[in-house]
Amino acid sequence: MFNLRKTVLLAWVALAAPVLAQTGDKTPMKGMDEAVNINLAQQAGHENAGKPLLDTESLGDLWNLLLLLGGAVPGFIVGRYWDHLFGKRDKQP
Amino acid sequence: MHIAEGIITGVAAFAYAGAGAALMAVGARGIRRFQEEHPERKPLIGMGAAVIFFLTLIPIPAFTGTTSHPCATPLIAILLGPRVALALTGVSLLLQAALFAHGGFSSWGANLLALGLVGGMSGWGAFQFARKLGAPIGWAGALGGVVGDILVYVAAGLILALALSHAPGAQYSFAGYLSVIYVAYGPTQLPLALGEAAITGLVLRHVLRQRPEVLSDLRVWGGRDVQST
Repeated sequence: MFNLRKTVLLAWVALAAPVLAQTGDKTPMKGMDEAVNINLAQQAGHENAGKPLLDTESLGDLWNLLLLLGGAVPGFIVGRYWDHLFGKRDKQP
Repeated sequence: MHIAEGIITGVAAFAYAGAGAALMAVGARGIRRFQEEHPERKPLIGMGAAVIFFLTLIPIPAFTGTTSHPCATPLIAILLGPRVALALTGVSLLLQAALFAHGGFSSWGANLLALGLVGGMSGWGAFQFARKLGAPIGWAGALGGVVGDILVYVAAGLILALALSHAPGAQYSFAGYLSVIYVAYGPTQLPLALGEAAITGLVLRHVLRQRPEVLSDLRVWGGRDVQST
């Protein structure tokens, strides 16, 4: 039987995997922002296009921590309040 | 797909940031009103922020060898209202720029305009339009999802083309850049827009089945509509 909660949990894990596996320039799957926007901007003379003000990716393993927290914290929040939208109906007295 | 740091510069960056700040003020008033009208539903604001933050961060692979992400703002705008979605998008974009170099501080206002204002308002508007026509909630949500998703990328393309056509080394006119950008976006984003339509419709339909009183309370699908799926 279709179970939305399990389906969403599995989808969450599946969708988080590409984020966790992201390895900057080495990845063959570039984001559209990089493949299109930054590429066009650099050709148009914006040499600093795509260079972040805060380069968290250069923090080594702390970058991994941020990525994990970026997936975990929203996951915990949605899980904590899941019943407010998807739980069983309130029982009538 | 957010507009990255360093693409929108100078006066344009300040103008977009000013517009973004004004939109945040509107959004903050929307959140305050939501809390006053639905004090028992406050957790949904946190849930909405978490969904926007996460879904607009995940790179989903497409057939073209590139990745992109859903918008999530149509769904949250339908559920919590476009003004609440606007404020949650603004906060999410700031966190993403600070923590993940996704988007940027100089492009924050432009991204908020595209993702928060255009995505939220158009998704909510398309849902309301379909609802008025008597569409079932699943189809109305799907229309909101697909319209919101596509219009986010239409708006982002317009902003980007405007910025690049005024760049020091511009290679095309505004119309030329717009054509190049939309041709590049299309193959990746259209399948994702269909996915966003399906998810938005299914989530709303499921909420109506499980908690119709929530949708009625939030005036998403109230009164006689509660009985119909």
